[in-house]
Amino acid sequence: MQIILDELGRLETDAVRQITTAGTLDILEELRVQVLGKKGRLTAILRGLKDLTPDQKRDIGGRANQLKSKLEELIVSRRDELMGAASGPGLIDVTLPGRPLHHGHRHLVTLVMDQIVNIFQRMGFEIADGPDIETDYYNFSALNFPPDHPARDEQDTFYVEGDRLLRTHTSGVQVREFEKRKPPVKIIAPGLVFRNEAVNARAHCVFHQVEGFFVDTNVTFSDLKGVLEAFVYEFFGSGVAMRYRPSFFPFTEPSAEVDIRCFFCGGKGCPICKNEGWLEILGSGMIDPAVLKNVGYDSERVSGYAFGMGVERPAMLRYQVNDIRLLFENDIRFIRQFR
Amino acid sequence: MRLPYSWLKELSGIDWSPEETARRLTASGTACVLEMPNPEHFQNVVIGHITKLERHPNADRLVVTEVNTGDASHTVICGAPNCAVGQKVVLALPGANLKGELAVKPITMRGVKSAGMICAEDELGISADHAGIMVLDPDAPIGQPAFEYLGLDDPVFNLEITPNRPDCLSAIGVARELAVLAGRPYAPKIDPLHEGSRAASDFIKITIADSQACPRYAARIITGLKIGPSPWWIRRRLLACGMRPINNLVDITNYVMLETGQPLHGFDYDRFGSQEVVVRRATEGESFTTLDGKEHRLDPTVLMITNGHAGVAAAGVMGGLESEVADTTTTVLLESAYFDPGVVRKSARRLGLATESSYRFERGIDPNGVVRAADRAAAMMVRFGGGEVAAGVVDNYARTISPVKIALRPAQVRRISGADVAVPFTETTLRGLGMDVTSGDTLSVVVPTFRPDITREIDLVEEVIRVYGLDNIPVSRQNGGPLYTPTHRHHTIKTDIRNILIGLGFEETMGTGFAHAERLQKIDPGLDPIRVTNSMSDEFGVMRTRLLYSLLLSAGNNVRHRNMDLAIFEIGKVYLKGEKAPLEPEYAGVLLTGRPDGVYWKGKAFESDLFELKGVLAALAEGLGLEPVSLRLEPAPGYDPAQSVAILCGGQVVGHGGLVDRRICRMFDIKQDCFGAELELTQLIAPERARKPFVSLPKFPASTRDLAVIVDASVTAEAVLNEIRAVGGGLVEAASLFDLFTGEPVPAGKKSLAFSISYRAADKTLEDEEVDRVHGRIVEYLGQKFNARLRE
Ligand SMILES: [Zn+2]
Repeated sequence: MQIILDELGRLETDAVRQITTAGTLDILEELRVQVLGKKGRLTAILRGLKDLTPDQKRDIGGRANQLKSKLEELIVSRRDELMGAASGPGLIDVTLPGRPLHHGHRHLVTLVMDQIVNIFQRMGFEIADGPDIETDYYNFSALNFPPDHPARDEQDTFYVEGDRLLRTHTSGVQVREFEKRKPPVKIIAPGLVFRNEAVNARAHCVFHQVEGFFVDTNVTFSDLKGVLEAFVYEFFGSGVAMRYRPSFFPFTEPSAEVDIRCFFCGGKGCPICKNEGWLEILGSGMIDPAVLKNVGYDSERVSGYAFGMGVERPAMLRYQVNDIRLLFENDIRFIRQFR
Repeated sequence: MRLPYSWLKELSGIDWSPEETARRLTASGTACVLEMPNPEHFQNVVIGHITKLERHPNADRLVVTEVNTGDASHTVICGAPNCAVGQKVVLALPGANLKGELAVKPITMRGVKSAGMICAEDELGISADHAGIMVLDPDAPIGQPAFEYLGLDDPVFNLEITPNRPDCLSAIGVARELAVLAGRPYAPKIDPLHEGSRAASDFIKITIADSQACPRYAARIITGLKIGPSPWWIRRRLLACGMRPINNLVDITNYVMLETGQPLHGFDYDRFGSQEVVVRRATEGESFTTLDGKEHRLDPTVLMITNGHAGVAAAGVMGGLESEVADTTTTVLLESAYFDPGVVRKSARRLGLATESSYRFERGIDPNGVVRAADRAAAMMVRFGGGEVAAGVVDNYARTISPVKIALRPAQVRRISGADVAVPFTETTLRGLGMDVTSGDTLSVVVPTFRPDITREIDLVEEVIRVYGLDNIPVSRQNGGPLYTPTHRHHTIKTDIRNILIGLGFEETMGTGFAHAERLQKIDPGLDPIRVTNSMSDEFGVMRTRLLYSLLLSAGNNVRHRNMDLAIFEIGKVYLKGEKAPLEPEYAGVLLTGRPDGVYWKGKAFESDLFELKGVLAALAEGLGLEPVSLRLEPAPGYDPAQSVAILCGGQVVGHGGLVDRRICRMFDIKQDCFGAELELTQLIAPERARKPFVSLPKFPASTRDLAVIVDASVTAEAVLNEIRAVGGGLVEAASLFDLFTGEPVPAGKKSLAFSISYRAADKTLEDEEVDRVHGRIVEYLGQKFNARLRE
């Protein structure tokens, strides 16, 4: 038994010295196997315990296990030292690129459209949509565009086979939703619209619009102003100056175009606002009684407002994009600039 | 429409500055941009008198003039053909900088010094005319700065008149707006007209064959005219309004049109061809040459003014070449008429013409202002053309158009606007706009015929509100409407898809919805797309039937710019022919090409392939809460049949994809492999299923065993995996393929599949022996079923 104790003592002295002075991880691993491995010196001693008396087992076993723990700790701490030295300051090039993981980008139009829709959703507008390929009725007639009226010229129209057209605005959604619902109706309708125009830096034959409308008892122009002001403050910035210019749309009466103070020049006039100091952002008005009548609403009992805005224009204004074609060319170097 | 400030000021009597005037007009619905003159462009530009003119000694085409500017005489060389002694001209002296771009300096031309330049209109920026120098009226004061004399210090309003306001296509109409806004009474003064003794009816009679198309036609006869240039003030106003002066007669008809809004036409009476105006529809195939020299073949959509046998004008659109006023004209038949707006619109479209006249008729002029305008023009012709007006107007008012009477409940103004607009304000405003208002609980309003846009109570409400000022309406601080807004599934799924794909590194692209018919045909020969019937470009010839088209277009645009590594997606509609109405199903499409992950110094970059695509689809399905994705070889148009797949989620086909047909890629200038998928949006909305209770986390450890088998190349990984799971029963917790190997030492026609299998029991720790037994059974079954043998 003393032999075993001596052996443990020698082992401890040798192993502690060797472990604490091991120069490399490989040497350390070799030492670990020599001492603690399946055929290691300490493992052999522990295996030999089964031939001893219970008392001896307790005494020697206790010491052997203590030593095992001590050596294991020593190995771990020596390993940490060696590894720390290997990766010490100056030895790792942290400027090497990380693993190439990418995050993609929403298209600029989606980005802005989502923002717009989100603001109105928070004001209680429900999302709806309508077909891109429309009938004359929903795009024009029901919206109080008389046949053969110059108002139709304002919106150059694409016609498709089957006696239909590509909607020139999202306003047709008004009629479709009114037909399906009873007031109160409060809708926001984002979508693609089409104009048969030559494509150039300033105009495209497709663009996106967001249409909003609300019909209920006692809805006034004042309510429209409240909602639009909230939108403008949220989207363009709190306190942005606005103005309402009476205008003409067949489906609203009165109609108004809404301008905001040019945020590039502060109203002094610049090329972006064409020296007017204002930027036109949307059209709006009180829904014409003729439209309400067309959908079977009683214009003596209910009234409503509607507004429609382009998405590309505010998007381009916001980022000073000077060519609308960039939005549909989908060059990823362009797409990646917006988030 | 362009109108000079001085004209509006003169007619309305307002004393606002040009800026204030522009602001007020804009705020009341007449959108307006103010164009201010730039005096710097006219510095050192004065009126001169040509006192002497000689040929240039060394140049045939040039003359040497002496131009007196009052305090000095200047020797000036001129090359204009119309230059003559005695003319009053505009002289630009050294130091002048015309239009800010043409600096005038003393120069020597072929040995003779020139101390300035006699200007043509284009050099002054007045018009595009460069036919000769500008010759001023004989009474032009020598030495006066041209800027003042020419009235170029007059700001011009560029007005955007909405199609509902034909009355504002005139100086009088806009002046009336200004007067209302200023709260001033509006009363345009009318010049007295002195008529001669001979009756106009002796010269002409008027027959209207279609009173629906031509409710009114009036004519005046002016004799003894002498054609010449108009006085400068008329020409200047025409120029400021963007019209080209021609001669006194034509200029007066244009001037009166700009002033009153009534288009007028002057015929040379001696060349009119008869003594009767007959207004009728054109006959099928009738031929007519408009005064721009173009010959037209007509049909009955065109309303014609004729002399009884041949056309002399396309009514309301353009006169004919034959009876046009010429330098020899002495007697004028002056037409002032009211044509139906729709008829003129159709005529103009049929002729492919859009004129100042048709523009106004289409929008609706005042049928009861027809004679007033004729009188005004006749009076001016007497004054500036030396003529005499025959007595009386020949006026055929075949279908009377009367003012409409509308009842207005004043409370409606508040109901629509939300503003407290006082009743007296309502009444004053309507009166100022030219209406007759009878007070009472309900106002009775008679609307003049120059306002065809006002037919209903709401139209009157609009007038009051716009004059009250939209900016003066209070901003509501409340928000009404439904209690809550339900979720829009299609909108949320699109947002979800975007979020997932963007998270996976994809860029969102956006197509136009259009496609080029031939290219689309190559992608999907079986589908007949919806044709656009009036497209200007093949690029927008049909509606897309496939999202793949737009994805390839976007990819092509990128590859052309050397963006070779792409992971893009688009969400949008495709357009299909339907039974009753077109169908517009929404799709989500993805496209991978090149090495979208980029290069990595620690390992080699992946080329996109079908399995990268499959990984994306699997992640998307997982993110959307769908069943796991599987692929099934299945031909789909646009994809290479060898790698074309149906995409399934839980056995349900949700879309198609694969390797895009390389010939199609090349059509879009893409010479590398593209992998695409198109998924139908409605299929991606996870069904509302009963929510499963959660599964407890395992309490007992798992054992892992690897298994490598050699099987025939035709055996699918999925079949082997399914067998492993089936044989393992409940004990196989997970099994995954971690290696696929072909080639030496694996025999030809075979492949090696290596799986890592995790065994676990829910209720106990598995003994090694138990795991070995199940694992052995799996090996045995794989051997029986697939003839698989263990690889070591
Ligand atoms: Zn600006």
